[in-house]
Amino acid sequence: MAMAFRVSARGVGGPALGTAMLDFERSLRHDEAMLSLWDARSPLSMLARGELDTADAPAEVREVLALCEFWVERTAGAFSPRLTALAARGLPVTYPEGAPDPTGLVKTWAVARALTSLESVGATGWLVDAAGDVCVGGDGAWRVGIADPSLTGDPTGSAPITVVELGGDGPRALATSGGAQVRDHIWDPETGEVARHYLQVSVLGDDLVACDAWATAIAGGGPRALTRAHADGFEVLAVTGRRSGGGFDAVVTPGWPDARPA
Amino acid sequence: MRASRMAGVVASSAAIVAAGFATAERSLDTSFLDSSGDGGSSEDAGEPQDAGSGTPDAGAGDTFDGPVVTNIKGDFQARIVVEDGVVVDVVALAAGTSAAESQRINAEAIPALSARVLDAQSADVDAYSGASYSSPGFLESVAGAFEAAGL
Repeated sequence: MAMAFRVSARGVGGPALGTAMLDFERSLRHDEAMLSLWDARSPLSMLARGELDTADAPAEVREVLALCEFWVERTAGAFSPRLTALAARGLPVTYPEGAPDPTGLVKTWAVARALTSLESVGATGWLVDAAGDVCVGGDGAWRVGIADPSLTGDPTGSAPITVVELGGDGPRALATSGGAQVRDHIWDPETGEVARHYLQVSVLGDDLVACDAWATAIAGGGPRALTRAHADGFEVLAVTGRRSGGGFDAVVTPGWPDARPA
Repeated sequence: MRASRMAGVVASSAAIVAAGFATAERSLDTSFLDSSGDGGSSEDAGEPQDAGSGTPDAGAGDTFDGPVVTNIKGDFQARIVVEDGVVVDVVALAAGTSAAESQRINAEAIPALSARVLDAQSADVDAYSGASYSSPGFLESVAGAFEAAGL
C-alpha cells in the first residue's frame, strides 16, 4: 500500500538529481522502518505494544513522540496521537487502545528530514508532493491546485477547485485533509446532533508539518480548531458544502490568497 | 509568470518515490455528494425546518423570520424588520448550533471568514494538494479528542 512522493526540481538534472532522489527515498524508507505501525518489527510498533521502553527507543521514535505531544498542546487537544479502537481495526498488528499513533504528522516529518538531500544537490528550486501535502524550496514559484474533494485517489490531471501559488515571496507549504469521512458518524454527546465540519480543509503556511497537523486538527475539530490555526498564523480554506448546480462553497481566512483561474 | 518558469531557464525533472508510509490506501466516502441541500450555502441549499412565514407585527415595522437553514456549520435563521417596504433591520436569530461554546466560536469565526464559491477549473498546475491519503481513523480520533476535551 504505497503512497506517492513526487519530487520536481529546477536547475538540476541527470545523475546529480538521480542521486539526490535515491537519498531522499532512502531517508523516507529509514523513517518508515522506524515508525510504521503496519510493521510489527518497527521500534514504534514494539513500543506501542509495550515491548520497548521509550528511553530505549531510537532517537527518531522519541523525536516524533515529543513532536506529537507538542501538537497536542498547540492545538488544544484537537490533534490526538492516540490510537482509537476504530483506527486499530485497520492495522495488521494488534495494539492496545490509546497506543501512540503519530500517523497525523509522521509523513510530513519524514519529508522535512529527507529534504536535506534535495537542498544539497544544487537545485535552484524544488517541489515535493507527499501524497497531497506539498512544499517548495529555493527560488521561483509553483502553482498548486487544490483537488476536488469528491475525488478519490490520485488527482493528477483533474480540474482543481482553486489554485494557490507557493514559493517566491509567498508561503511554501500547503496541506489538505478530507473531512468528509468524519461526517455523520460522530455524534455530539450533549446535543445528540451529528458533528459536522468540513468536506475538505487546506492549510497554507511555511512549515509543512505544521500545515499538516493543523489541517488534520481542523478536519476533526471544526471551527474551533480553524480559529486557533488562524490565530497561530496559518491561512485556511475550508470547503463547507457542494452546490447542487456544480461547484463548492468554501470559507477562507482573511489572508488566503484569492484564487485566480489559469 | 516568473522568469524561473520560462522555457529555457528551467530544467525540470520529476520522480516518484513509493513508500508504504503509515497508511493504507482508502476510498473516500462520497455519500455526502448525494445529500443535496446538505451543506450548501444558505441561499441555494436550505432545507427549511420551519416554514419561512412572515409574521406581521404591530408597531414600527413588520418582522419576517426566514426559514431555519441548516448547513454543516449549524442552524442559521435571520429576521428582518420592514418599514414602508424598506428593510430597516436584520437580526440573526440563530447562527450555528445552540451550544454556548459553538456560539462563542461562531461569533469569533464568522466575522473573520469570508465566503468563496469554487468551481472546478481547467488549470495548468505543478502539483495538487488533496486529501487522498489521510487516515479516516485518525480524523475520528481527532474529533473524539475534541469531545473528550469538552470543546
